Amino acid sequence: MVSQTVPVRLDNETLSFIDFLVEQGVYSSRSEALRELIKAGVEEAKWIVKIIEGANKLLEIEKKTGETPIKLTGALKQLLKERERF
Amino acid sequence: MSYIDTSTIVAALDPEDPRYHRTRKILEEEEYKVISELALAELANVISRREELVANIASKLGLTRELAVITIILYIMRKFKLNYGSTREFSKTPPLGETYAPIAEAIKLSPKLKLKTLNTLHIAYVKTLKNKGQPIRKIITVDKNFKKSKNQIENIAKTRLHIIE
Repeated sequence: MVSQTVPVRLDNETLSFIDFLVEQGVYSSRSEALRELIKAGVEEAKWIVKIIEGANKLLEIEKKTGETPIKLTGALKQLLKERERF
Repeated sequence: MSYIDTSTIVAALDPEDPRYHRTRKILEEEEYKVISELALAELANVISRREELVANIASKLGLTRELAVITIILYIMRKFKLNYGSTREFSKTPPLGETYAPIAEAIKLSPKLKLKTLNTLHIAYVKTLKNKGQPIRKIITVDKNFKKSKNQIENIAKTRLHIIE
């Protein structure tokens, strides 16, 4: 796999944590620790892609059918009524 | 730039409301629109309680219900080209202490506006966003509760208040 070098600034707290993991032998170097943790973070963040794709799909449905797939019937009355209470 | 109150967005998606077409037209015609995190929270709340809608969208898109709610919010923001204005800032309210900037504004505005809490908070967000450099000229709402303090809102926030009736 082709890889690239990316310069990144980290705060001391994060770096201390990375160093701790290296000292404990979890990773062999700062570089490996960062690489593995970023990969895990990217995997974890895949739900963001699902949301973006989902919103695009809803926009497509609207374009195709000519009407919004999101109807909040009766919601305004409820919202205004709740605002009245506080 | 216009600040869009949550009520305007909800009206534009509520076919039962008589302002449905008017609010849609206004949202489509207004060029630069900003919403606050308060609008995001109110929208999440309104959408979450439409359980059938959320379940239907979740199943259609293969998402959990939690993700479906955020997906619907993102769709609404893209549909009406709404920009989220962030207010990451804290302010001092001596001698009470440090609070989140919109809350500090709301504390200052409350005795002047005498509105309900959420209405006061929306005006506080307008002031905070303006202090952060957002050129807000107009507040667009369908909530008539703002009406009684229209002059004060316009004077204090230096912003026109447009209530869609």
